[in-house]
Amino acid sequence: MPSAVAHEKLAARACRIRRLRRRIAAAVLATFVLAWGVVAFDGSMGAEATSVASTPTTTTTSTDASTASSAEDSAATMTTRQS
Amino acid sequence: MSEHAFWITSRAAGIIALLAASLAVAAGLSRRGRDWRVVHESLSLATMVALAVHALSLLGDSYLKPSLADVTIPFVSSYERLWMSVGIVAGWAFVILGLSYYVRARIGIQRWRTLHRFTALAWVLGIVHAVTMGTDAGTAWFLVTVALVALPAGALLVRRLTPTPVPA
Repeated sequence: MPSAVAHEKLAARACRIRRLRRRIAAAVLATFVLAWGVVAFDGSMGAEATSVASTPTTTTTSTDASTASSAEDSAATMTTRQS
Repeated sequence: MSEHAFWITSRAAGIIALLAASLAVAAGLSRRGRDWRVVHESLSLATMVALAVHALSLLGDSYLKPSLADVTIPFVSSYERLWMSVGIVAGWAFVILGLSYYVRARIGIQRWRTLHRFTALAWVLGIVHAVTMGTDAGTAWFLVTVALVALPAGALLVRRLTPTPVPA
């Protein structure tokens, strides 16, 4: 029956198109995830905050603790931006 | 990392929009049957989704803090005004011209075909936007990846625009 054959052909084509669309969507999504990862780990992040801090240190130079010096560095924060 | 999530998402979506648009243009220009039309349509829709993510995820960026108007209306944002506007115009042109396919009967097929040709111009403007203000535009991986899809599409576009000599 020609109409049955035509119907089968149409159904097969619809199935092929659905599969093609699904594959393209999956490929685009996978590429997005890959691009996200590359951008995230590439380095140029935009806003970068680098903290250079040293913990407060106390140095005792004599055993009787009569002379003690302490040095304390305040935390320094440098912010840079590359857009 | 989480503080940069919106920024990274916007950049990744921009890259995807550029790649998908380039492949969509190439598929559209290749004219190789009905399956290619499906590929062209699917990639165009993917481009539109990526463009929406590219623009809207910027709204969450804590550094730029753009408004909705900044990312949707040309010449509103003060940040890289010209190239940002080029990108916005290209994005809107791509979306409007792309979606016009679904109302082509109402527009008139011939008129729609004429309009549809301007999608290539939107694609070119998108490349200009990416190269001029893209954060990753200076990296080798970005340039190589974009060249791999944009150059074949560009070659197909040049071939299409070149008048075919009429045989004597």
